[in-house]
Amino acid sequence: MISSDLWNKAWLKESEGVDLTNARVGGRATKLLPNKEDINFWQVSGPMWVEDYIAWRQANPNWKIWIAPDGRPAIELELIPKIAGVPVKMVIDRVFIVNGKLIIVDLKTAKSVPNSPLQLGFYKVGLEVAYGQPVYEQEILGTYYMSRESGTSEMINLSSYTYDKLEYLVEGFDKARRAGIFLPNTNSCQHMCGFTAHCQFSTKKDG
Amino acid sequence: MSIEIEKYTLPEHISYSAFSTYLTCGYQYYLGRLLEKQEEPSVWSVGGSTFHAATEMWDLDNL
Repeated sequence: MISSDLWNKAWLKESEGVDLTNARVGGRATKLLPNKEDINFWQVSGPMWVEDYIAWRQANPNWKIWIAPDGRPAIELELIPKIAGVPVKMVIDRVFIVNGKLIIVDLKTAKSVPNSPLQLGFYKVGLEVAYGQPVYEQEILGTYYMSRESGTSEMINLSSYTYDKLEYLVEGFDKARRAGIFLPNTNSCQHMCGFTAHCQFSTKKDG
Repeated sequence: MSIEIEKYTLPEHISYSAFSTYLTCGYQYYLGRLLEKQEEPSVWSVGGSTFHAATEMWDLDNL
């Protein structure tokens, strides 16, 4: 199946039941994109990004999809390990095995690489908790596949993400949500929040 | 007028995404994840999911 067929098939599925008529759009209005990154932008860019992903996969045959100890290929690998006694659901986009090392890859369609690799750290600890010793003994790296760059970002050594660190974060989050502590951050209102209509603290302006 | 938190049921599990949303804005987490208020649709959300689904199909077909 070629990339545009893959894209169209997936778009139909993912947009089913979603009214995109007045949906929020990302990016900035430019001469080239006066309507920002609207449906047309995605319908043009998306298939090209899929084509580039396929080309990247084919150009790196030594990047093999990792087969987890439970026999599942690590493609959208769903795990629910317990950290600090709390089930933590994660769907890991890809795990590759390259020269004996595990590489966790998260796929991004945004412009920028995340400021922090914490998401990859969550996945690294999640893999260790879910599969134990066979994974714990391996070196685990992480990276982002940046669709707009048609390749991966800088490789990150995830060894600093330990169970103890994740336990601290998960435990703190769990305590806060159980205690009903939900402080609004009005500095973030302009940043992609889709709950303006329901939020009494919102400072978001239309447009 | 006092602002009160509505009764909510905690999901059985958390996720990195929920944690990240909480750090961005605790109230957004409360509205979206606990009260399950309807989020305004976004084109980037559908587009991002589509990219994931399309590449997943390719990788599964080429194992």
